[in-house]
Amino acid sequence: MFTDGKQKYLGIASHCVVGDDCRLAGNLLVQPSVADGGGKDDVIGEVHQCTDLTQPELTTDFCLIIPKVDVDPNILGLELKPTGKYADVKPGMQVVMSGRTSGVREGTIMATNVMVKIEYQCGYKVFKNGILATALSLEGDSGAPVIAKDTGDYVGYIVGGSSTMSLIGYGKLLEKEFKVKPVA
Amino acid sequence: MVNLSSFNIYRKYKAWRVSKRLDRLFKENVILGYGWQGATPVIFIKTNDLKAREVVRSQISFIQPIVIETDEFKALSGFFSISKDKDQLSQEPRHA
Repeated sequence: MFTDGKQKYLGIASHCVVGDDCRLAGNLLVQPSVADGGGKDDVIGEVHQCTDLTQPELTTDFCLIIPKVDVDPNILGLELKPTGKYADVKPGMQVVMSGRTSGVREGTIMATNVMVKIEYQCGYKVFKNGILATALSLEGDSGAPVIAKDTGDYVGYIVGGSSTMSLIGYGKLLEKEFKVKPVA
Repeated sequence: MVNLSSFNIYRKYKAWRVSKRLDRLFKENVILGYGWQGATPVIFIKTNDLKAREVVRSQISFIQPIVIETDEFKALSGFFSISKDKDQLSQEPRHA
């Protein structure tokens, strides 16, 4: 969870809420999804602010959701408690992720300040200032929080990856672009 | 005796020069992308892309990069629902 000091938000990847043209497909978030057995009584939040994915170059792929239900700020499956801090990310750092498909998985940061070409539903984009880690994530894990294993500080969120690596959006950039901090 | 100030300027110049080359190779679609392990560039190229391997070897080898062969990067898809109207929820799996 995140806060701007007034409101608490859920954080997800922006490409979760856009259509094939990379424009916002709606404003109501349903969890679990219809495919996972969810329905109209499972609306958990409303879209507040998202990265514009129609741009050719991105430094974030993130969306703030105003929750409509009570939300536990702890991360499912992790004993580490959220610290309310963004991590200073360095290569070699051990991280842990909790995702919808993979559950809890550990990995290692391989490179920072990464620029890659990444395929979205509306075509290729250049993703800048990302982080690459050993393969942590699978289909369905996008937006999952990645945490520093030794401190519990927030590293970032899963965006995508290749078969051997995971691309993570850098958490610290959310402070600048969305004016939010993780909730402790 | 090494002049540390000159050495640092040279190191910064070398990093700047390699950044420019990597930018160019990225824009020309020779490499999939790049990042950094401290001052060492980490270069991603397509698996078995002999041309990219050769270009990196001939143009970037002076700074001893880490070269990683991989397939293309994709935004991960999954199952997620988003709707404008809660009575008309999408049945389609969303990217998530």
